[in-house]
This record gives sequence, C-alpha cells and structure tokens, in this order.
Amino acid sequence: MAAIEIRNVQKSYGNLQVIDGLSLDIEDGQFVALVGPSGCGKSTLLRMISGLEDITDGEISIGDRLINNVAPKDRDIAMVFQDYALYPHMTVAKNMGFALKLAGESKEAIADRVHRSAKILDLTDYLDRYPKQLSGGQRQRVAMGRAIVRDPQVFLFDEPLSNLDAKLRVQMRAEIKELHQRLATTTVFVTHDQIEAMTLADKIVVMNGGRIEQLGTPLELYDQPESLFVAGFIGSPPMNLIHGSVGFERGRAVLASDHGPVLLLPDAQTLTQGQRIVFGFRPEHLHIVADEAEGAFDCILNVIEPTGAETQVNAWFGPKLITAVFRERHDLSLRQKIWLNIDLRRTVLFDEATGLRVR
Amino acid sequence: MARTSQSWGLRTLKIGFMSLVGLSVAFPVYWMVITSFKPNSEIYQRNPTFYPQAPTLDAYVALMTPHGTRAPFVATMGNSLIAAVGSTLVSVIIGIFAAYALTRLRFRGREAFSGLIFGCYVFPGILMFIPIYLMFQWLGILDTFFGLIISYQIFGIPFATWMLRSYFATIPASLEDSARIDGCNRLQSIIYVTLPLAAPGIAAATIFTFTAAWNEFLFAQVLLQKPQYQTAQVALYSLLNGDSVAWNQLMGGSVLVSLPVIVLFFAAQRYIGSGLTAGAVK
Ligand SMILES: Nc1ncnc2c1ncn2[C@@H]1O[C@H](COP(=O)(O)OP(=O)(O)OP(=O)(O)O)[C@@H](O)[C@H]1O
Ligand SMILES: [Mg+2]
Repeated sequence: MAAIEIRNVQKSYGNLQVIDGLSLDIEDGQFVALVGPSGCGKSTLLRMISGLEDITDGEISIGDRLINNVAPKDRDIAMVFQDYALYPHMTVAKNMGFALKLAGESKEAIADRVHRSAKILDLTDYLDRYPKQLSGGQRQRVAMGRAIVRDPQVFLFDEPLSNLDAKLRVQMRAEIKELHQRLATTTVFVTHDQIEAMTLADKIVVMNGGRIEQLGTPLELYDQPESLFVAGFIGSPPMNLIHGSVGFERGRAVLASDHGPVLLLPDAQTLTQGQRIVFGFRPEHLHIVADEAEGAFDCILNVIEPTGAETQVNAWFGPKLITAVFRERHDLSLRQKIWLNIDLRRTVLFDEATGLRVR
Repeated sequence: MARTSQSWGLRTLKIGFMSLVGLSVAFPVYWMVITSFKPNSEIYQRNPTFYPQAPTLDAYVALMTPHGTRAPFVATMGNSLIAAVGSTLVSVIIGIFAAYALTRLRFRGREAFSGLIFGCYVFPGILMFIPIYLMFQWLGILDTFFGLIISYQIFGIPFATWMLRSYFATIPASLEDSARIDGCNRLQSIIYVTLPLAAPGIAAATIFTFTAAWNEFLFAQVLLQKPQYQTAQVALYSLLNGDSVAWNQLMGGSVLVSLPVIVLFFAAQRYIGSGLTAGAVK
C-alpha cells in the first residue's frame, strides 16, 4: 500500500491540453473517487497514474517513488477497465493468474492465491470457464479478481460498474466497499455516477475541463460546494438554483428572482444592492408551512412522487420547476398551491458571473 | 405446417442451385485428376472417356524424369516451396508488426501510410517488372531465391498488412493495456495476447500470401533463369511447348501443384472462423 502524490501534472495530445496543471495527494489506504462530466480527463489522469499514458509535464509518485518513467508493469498497480478487458483465450483461473505467472511465481503459489481471491469474490465454481461463458456481473467480478489476486499497492478503477444493470451495480458497489474495508488498498475510482462516488469514497475529486473543481469528503462537497458546477453535479435530485438580483428590504438581504417571487437570503457579508447571484438550496431543505408565514413563498405542485420513506415533488416556481423532498407525510394533490420555507442555514450563494461561492 | 411446406420448395431450389455450382467447380478438378491417370492416346481419342479405361502412372513417371531443360518435377516443386514459404514468412511477419503499428501506435503520417499500403496492394505488380529486373541485375540478385522472395513482397507485405490491420482493429486495445499492467512489456503483450487472438487473421493471411506466391509465374519465369532454380509453375508452362502437348503430364503436374495448397487449407481451417474475442469486453 502506498500514498500517491500528483504534482502539477499536465497532459496534451498535440495542441489539445487535456489535463491542466493538476495536483492531488492521495493518502495511503484512501478511497478516492474521480467524478466529472464526460471528456473532463478522468480516464486520462488514471491512465497516467497507471503508466499507460505518458505524462507531458509534472510528477507522479507512488509511495515516495517517482514513477514518471517507470513502465506500467513495474508500478505495482492493478487496474479494472470499464470493458473488463478479460483475456478471451484464457480461462478465469488463467486470467486471474496471468500477472502472477509473468512475475515468475510457482504454479502452486499461483493456484493458491487464485483460489483465495476466487473465494472472496464467489468465483470458485467458474475458474475453468472462459469469459464468453460468463454473465456480465461474473465478468466484472473476474476483472476485480484479476486485480486483487496481485495484492498491489494501488487499485485503479475506470468506471468498472457502468456496464452493469442498476441492481447489479448496487450489489457490486457494496462488494467493492467491503473489499476496500478488508484490504485497505489505496484506490482511485473513476465514475460519473455521483451516487457511486458519494457512497464509496473517503474523498471525492470533482474534475472539470482538466482541472480539479473541488475536492473533499462526500459530505463537504454536498454541504459546501465551492462553485455552481459542483453544486449542480453533486446531489440527486440536484440542488435548486435560482437566478436573481440582490435587494434589501427592511435591512434584510432578499433575492428578486428573475421569474418568481422575492426570496429571503441568508445573511452574507459581501452582498451589494443589484448584485447578480445564484441562490442554491437542496430539495430536502424545503419545508411546507402555513399560508403566508414569514419568509415563505408559494408554488404550484406539478409532480408528486411518494416513495414511502419520503415524498419528492416538482413544483412551479414562476416558470421554473423546483424540487422538494419531504420526510413528513403531507396531504398533497396535483396543481395545489403550497407554501414553502427554505432552511436558510443550509443554503449557498454563487456569483452569477464567476460561478464561485459568495459568503 | 404451412411454413414447412413453403420452405420445402425453397429448399429444393437452394439445393438444386448449390449442386449446380458445386458441380461446375468440382467437374474440372475431377477432369484434371482422371486425365492425369490416362495414357496420352486415350486423351486424344475421338470420344472422351469419363474415367480412365486403363489407369496408368506413366504421366507421373515422365514428370519425375528430367527432360531437356526441365528439371524433375519434384525438384521444381521444392523450388516453389522455398520461394513460397520464404515469401510467406517474410510477408506475414513484417505484416504483423506493420499492422500492429498502424492500429496501435500514434505517429505522424499514420493515415497516409495506411493509404500508401493500400495503394501498393492494388497497384499492378507487373508494371514494376522492368525496373525490378534492372534493379536486381544491378544488385546481382537475379537468379537467386532471395531475389524472387523479395520481388514477391511487392504484393505480399501490403496484402498481409492490410488484411491483418483490419483484423487487429477488431481486438480491443484495452486487452493489451491490461496485459501491460499485468506485467508484460509491449512485445510480451503482443505475444501473449494480440497474436493468439489474431490467429484467424494470421492463418488467413498466411494462406493467401502462400497461395499467391506458390501460383506466381511471371516473376519466377524471368527472375530465375537457371534450370536448377525453375519453379513448378514455370515447369508446367514448359510442358506446353512442343508439337503435341502431353496433357496427362500437364494434368499430373497440376494435381501435384494443388496438393500443398489443399493441405494448407485444411491445416489452417480450424484457426479460421470468428468469435475468438467473444467475452473479452462487456
Ligand atoms: N488518444 C487521444 N488523442 C487525442 N485526444 C484524446 C485522446 N484520448 C483522450 N483524448 C481527449 O482527452 C479528453 C479527456 O478524455 P478522457 O478519456 O480522459 O475523458 P473522461 O473524463 O474519462 O470521459 P468519460 O467520462 O467520457 O470517460 C477528451 O476531450 C478526449 O477527447
Ligand atoms: Mg473515461
């Protein structure tokens, strides 16, 4: 096991700059999720850590060893690919033992380690099968088995669950989490499923356009997004974002929203009259209140989705739909007018022009 | 029920059509084989016979005996084998590495180079005949197998490269990435992963380059002048010179010449066929 240190790394393909001076510290044993929109450079960063892709500039170290010029095979890492990349001409056992064989391990040692890993992943019955004789979930498991059998310093995962159906994905997610708790191997996990990132990671790195937009624990990113980008990316259903200008009424900051009613803003030091901002609040921080309570605003219910534990609603806020989630049961009907209150301690403000947090 | 009766008519039609095609392919082969076992007198007789009246190995015996400038036929087949095997090895090995580079490595001019190879492949080799002759004369490699093998690469390398290139493109690159992480260097990843998966493509390229070189006549005729280097195709042609053509010998030679190709086809058959990469990804 080892820490990973990424110092000012850049990557270009010809004139196209894909990674733009990125630095990141990953602690020994940490589970880090890389998230971000398609094309933001997640796979590229992972492939630079693995050595499959050259580093244009900057430095990457694994466990205090600078690995810029170390071949992938000498980095002591294991990688699970999105498409699994199982060797089709080898059985499951051969697939899992391939790395050990190349490392010159004895036949007995290979068989022993393959069996132990197969047991962890419930693959014992499939060791003699070829990849084409396995289901998608089993193939995924073999890909994992191939990684853990080597007991490497670092696991690299590139969207390993994205080819599975929803149910299997949840199951494998739990298995990966359990595996990490058991092995405590430093892990970098690329996904564009933010739920996967939230549930698995100790630390999430949100990437955008080849840079780190923000990094932190899942809850830090959820509660304290530093930019509009992160606010919109983390959370499902997503945060409500209302555009408008700042005004002052009776000494209190309010938002004259572009299309809807005036909203009370949380106290912030730096707001000025007429400043263009975006007001962000999460669906679960909205509460139904009695008519025209202090600071409440009204909207018209459009969709009601009860799941039992909670009820998610979409409501018209002027011409814009906002989402709210209630844990309490309310007697609601479609097109009903409801009054909502925002828990102002949990809201965030962003500058409309820069997209950055305003405090 | 209705479906069965409907497809019954269709099936008869299909079988009838395929028998017709099969017959028109098989009959000349049959004719070649039986003619080689007939004495020449029977061949020149007014009414053709559909099986040899008095089967004889005379034609084969005559073929094996040197005659004029013609070497014994086995010897010429040996020469053909040297040329064809040598040329196939060179084409396929170079083709493998060229195809790998064209599908897996990024370098300037890759697309242009691919186009060029296709251009070489479709360019009629016969147009290069005279320059090649002059060049080989200057290099002093006329009348050598080495020279003949080199001349066959005009066709062989572009052909093998082109064929393998499209095959390699079907093998997911992530398999090699995975092999490199598992501990292979680039060459090992090719040997352990790419080549086994490309076996059908390699088998096909081998058969086609071998057959092309084995059947080649013109370059063999011109570049190898010495009788002891004569190839089987050239020897067959020499049988046509003369007042009365010994058809039984010509057909006997044709039978012998087709044998290696048939053997190769059957040997390679089990490698050909798709589905080797099934289950690799997703
Ligand atoms: N070999 C290459 N040559 C040129 N550009 C490339 C190459 N590989 C990737 N890119 C570019 O680099 C950028 C980042 O690609 P990357 O695969 O890292 O994205 P990603 O974040 O993994 O996206 P996704 O979520 O879709 O997998 C993209 O704009 C892509 O077009
Ligand atoms: Mg990717």
